Amino acid sequence: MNFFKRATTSILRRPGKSVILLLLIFILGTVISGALAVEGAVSNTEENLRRGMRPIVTFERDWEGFDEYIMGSTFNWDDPDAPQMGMLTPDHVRDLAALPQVQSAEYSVSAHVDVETVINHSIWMDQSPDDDFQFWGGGIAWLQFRGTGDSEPLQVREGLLELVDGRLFTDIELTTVSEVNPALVSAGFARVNGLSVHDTFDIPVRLFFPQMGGMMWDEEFITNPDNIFLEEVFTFEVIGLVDAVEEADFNDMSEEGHAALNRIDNMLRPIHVSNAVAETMQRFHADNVLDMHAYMAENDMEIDPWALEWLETDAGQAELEQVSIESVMILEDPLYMDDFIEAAADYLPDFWRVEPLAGGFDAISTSMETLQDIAGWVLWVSIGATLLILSLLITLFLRDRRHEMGVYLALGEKKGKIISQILLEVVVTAVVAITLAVFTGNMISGMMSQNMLQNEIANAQGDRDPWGSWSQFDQLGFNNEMSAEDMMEAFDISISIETIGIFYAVGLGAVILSTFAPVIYVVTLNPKKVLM
Amino acid sequence: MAILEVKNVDYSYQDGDQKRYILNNISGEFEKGKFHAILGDSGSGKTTFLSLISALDKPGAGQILFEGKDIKEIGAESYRRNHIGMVFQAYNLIPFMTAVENVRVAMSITENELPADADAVAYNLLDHIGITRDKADRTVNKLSGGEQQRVAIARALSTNVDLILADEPTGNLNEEMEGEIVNILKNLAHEHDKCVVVVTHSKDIASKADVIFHLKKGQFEDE
Repeated sequence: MNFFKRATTSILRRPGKSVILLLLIFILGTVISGALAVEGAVSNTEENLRRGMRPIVTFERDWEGFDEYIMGSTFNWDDPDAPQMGMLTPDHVRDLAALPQVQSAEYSVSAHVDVETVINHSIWMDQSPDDDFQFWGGGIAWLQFRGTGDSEPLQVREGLLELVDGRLFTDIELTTVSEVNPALVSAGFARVNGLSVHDTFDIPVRLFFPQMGGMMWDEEFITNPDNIFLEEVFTFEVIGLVDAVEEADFNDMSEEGHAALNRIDNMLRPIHVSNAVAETMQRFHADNVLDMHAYMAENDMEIDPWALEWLETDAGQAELEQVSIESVMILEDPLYMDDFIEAAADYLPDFWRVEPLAGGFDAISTSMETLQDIAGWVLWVSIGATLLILSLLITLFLRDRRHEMGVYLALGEKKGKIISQILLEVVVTAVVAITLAVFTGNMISGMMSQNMLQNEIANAQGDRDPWGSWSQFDQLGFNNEMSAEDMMEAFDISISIETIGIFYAVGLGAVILSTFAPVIYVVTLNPKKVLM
Repeated sequence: MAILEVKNVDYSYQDGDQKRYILNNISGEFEKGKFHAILGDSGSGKTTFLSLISALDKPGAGQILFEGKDIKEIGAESYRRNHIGMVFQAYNLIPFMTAVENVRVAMSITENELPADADAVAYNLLDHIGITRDKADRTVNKLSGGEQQRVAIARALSTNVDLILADEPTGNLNEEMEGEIVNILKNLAHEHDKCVVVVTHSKDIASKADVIFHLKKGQFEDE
């Protein structure tokens, strides 16, 4: 009848008190288990969502941060050293690409021109051929030329576009500007302009005199020699035709369907050229604008003083000297995103930020953080309650058993063994209760957190812009939205062995700590007063 | 030779400015094979005396020697565990345990060498003292007062000690039971060579003792 057998006999022969203790630990354990399960579920879900996301980032101007800065008390318009909105340059891209989280990086130079020589193609033309989809209207096409530094443009490499005819760029074509430059165009663009692989088309790039009064930006205006200071015609050879991998479904009237059509249209509109060619086109204005002003001064033409002032500012100088680029980087792993965002802050120009392909994750991340915070609070409060309530209950139970404790002491039992007996009784009961609580806590919190997340996801879906967003990702054709079904599929309440281990450690730790006060009671018990 | 010697023991408490003595310079010797009675009225200090010789309390002054060694040196817990068996007026058994389990508790606590088959020893002991096998397996709260006191005596004996201390062992029993319990205690002294010390206020019980100590106003008085 050693202390171990005494403990088990005590549990079995006094079922009423054992059951009360078991129920109490079970209830408190369920709360603790639930809180841990919610924390685990949020963490699992976040990881699943992140894993489900493509680890792609781009970089955008942080207008919100800039606005906050200039509205702040430290900003001074007259301070020449005050930080200003910077520009992303190839040097920045090189530094960012060297970060360990980055798998591949590239930058792209874009140029936009308004031309009357070709027709801009939109997938909406296929549905409504009679409407004008030239973007600006007025019979002119607003064309985007998207540069690539890789023989396989990003969207082809990422499986968004496929080459349906012809070929991609060669390495030599990426670095040279010739009389006839290679271009990849969409099959739709080729069709509406009557082009095939190996055909050529001309794009006039023009520098217009600044206009003082109102004017109509139409074919008549942009072709009138009086309005043009300089014109250079770029000739392109169609080396390949591309098309979207994702099929346009005009019958899908849902928000997702509409967003998909916009995404496909955005992706197919640009003409893909080398970065070298796009840079030459982009620089056409900056390289010649000073000459134009000199010409205007010589010929007594009216010059807009604001335009001259602008060119003297840092931003104006930067525009004259630097090339505007966009960059997209692919990370080694979706879970590296936070580390990359933190590290990239040191290398980006002022007021620029990393824009991850969030896949709708941002919309519910706040809710998940709130859920995790609540779970954290519940966990600590329930541990506190466990300590308090169990301390009181075990002390009360031991007061009822003071006679029994007095007998052990009178028989000369070592206090250590009496304490071990009490601990054993509590721990054995606690292990049973905690084992039951693992399942109930997990089940209850699973239902609760799933409902909460479902509501948040529904709200997040409701807040979506039905026209899609204007982020670079949408323009590039990356699906920046995750469906509610995908988000709920990512929800994972399954409790890991590690979490179960933590739960047992926390639960048993709290129970053992709760016996501290009762143990003091036993240690100070005087058997003479109890028994005689 | 005395197994237990009490030498000039004081026990007092502070009452305001005054020190009130419950036991005052008390001495006595207790031998194996004898049935000793400490006789005294209520408040005479007899229970205090028993609590001191059972090391449940400490004397203010003086020495209590067990086999010539101060029980302070032996250590109170060790002394109770290995050298004495106690019988209380209220039996002080563990109520949710059976009779044999109560005996086994004491046997598991002592460090004295005991026969290997502890269960058999416990059953035999109980049987010897009048608790049948059937009753030995009942929880003690299902036994009568006399039976419970027998279990308490069996528990005291189970650790193979030579000194049995009993505090009013028949206080809760009827006359018939009282006689039986006193006979058992007397037999322990005479037939098993134990030193039995019984604290009582009953002159009947004391009259059956080999040695009687009259405790009055904290001191032993000659008869």
